[in-house]
This record gives sequence, structure tokens and C-alpha cells, in this order.
Amino acid sequence: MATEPKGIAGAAGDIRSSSYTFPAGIPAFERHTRFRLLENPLHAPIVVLESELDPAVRFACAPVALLAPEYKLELGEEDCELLGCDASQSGLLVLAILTFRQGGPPTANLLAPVVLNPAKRLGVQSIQCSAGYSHLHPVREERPCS
Amino acid sequence: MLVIRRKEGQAIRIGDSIVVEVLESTPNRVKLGVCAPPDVRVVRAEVLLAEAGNREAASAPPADVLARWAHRLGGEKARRGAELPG
Repeated sequence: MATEPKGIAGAAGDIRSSSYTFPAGIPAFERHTRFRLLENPLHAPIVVLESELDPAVRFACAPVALLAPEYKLELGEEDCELLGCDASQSGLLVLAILTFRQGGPPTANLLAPVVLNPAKRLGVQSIQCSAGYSHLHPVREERPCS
Repeated sequence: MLVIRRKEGQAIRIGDSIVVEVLESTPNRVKLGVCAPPDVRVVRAEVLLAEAGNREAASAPPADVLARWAHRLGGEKARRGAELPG
């Protein structure tokens, strides 16, 4: 069932929450088919995908367009079916899962972005086999132009 | 690494129970058919990378770390530019 975004009052501010169904789960977490997209204004542009099955399973994500402006998403038939759309669908959200390690900047998984279809509240982690994207893309700090 | 040249319709056998057949070959990609016992997991190599990456990333860092990196990535202005909802 689709869930409308709602605000959650909290010390960190109003956190928007919307639920997405991942019909196939995600790799290594196939049983986790429902995730909440949590948007905290204090953490923008980073968002969190939190498993409804186990809230300890939480993925920090950032828009791929921000990390790799030239990124080209290729959706296969199977992914389109899981998202309930066709390959030319507009309005899809494409997020890269971030991995934080001690002592270094995070990396972004551009090999397997999370694709969300807000119109149908469906999601998939789409593995991009042919473009040569890295699952360890370095996240660089935005610096103002001088 | 063992290298074997095959054409469409030809196959290789791995052990007694695994057969890999070349179903279609184009300049850009090869379509393979794999016959293997049910207990042998057959996946694209990239799936294993995605699994390993997800396991490592599955516990998002504390709020202060997220806030710090959010700021470094450009904050709310960057979110709007990347067309996240809200």
C-alpha cells in the first residue's frame, strides 16, 4: 500500500518519511522488502533508507546526480517490471548507497544504485553491468567556485 | 586463467554437472546459458560486489557524521539541485 510522506517530530527537526516496497529486496537483504525513505533537512542531501523488517538495517544514500552528474542509468526489463514503469520513465529517484569507514571519506556505490519510483512507491537496486561504474566511487567534498 | 574460444551454440562443461552454452554473441555482449545443480549458485559477478557493499553499508553512521557530510556535499541547496522530493 502506498504511504504518503509524513513528518516526524524530533529533536533533529521534521523528518519526512515515505515507505517503498522493494519486491525483490536488495542484494544480501532479500527478505527486506519494505523500506522507509527518511529525509532529515539537517542531513540533506543525504537520506536514509531504513528497513521496516529490521530498523537496524539502514543505508545512507545520496542522489547519484550530485555525485556523478554525467551518470547514465540503464534500466533492464526486469528492473522496469519491479518498478512498475518503462525504461523512459521520468521522475525516478536514483540514489547511491554510501559506505562510511573510519579514517577516510565515504564511498558511493555507483555500480548498483537504488532506484525509486515515487509514483508507485516501488524500489529496486539496479546493477549497472555495462557502464563500468565503481561500487567504491570516492565521495568528494563540494567546494565553492573561486 | 583457462581461455577457451567458443562460437554460438557451442558449450563448455565444468565438472560433471555444469554446462555453459554460448546462446548468442554480438560485438558488445555474449548471452550465456548455464545449466547447474540447484545447490550451485549462479549469479553475475557484479551481484556479489553489490552484496558485499550492502553488508558493509547496512548500518548508517550516527547523525553527527551524516550532518557533517551533508554539509560537505552542499546541504539543502544540493538536495534541491538533485531533485529529491520534499
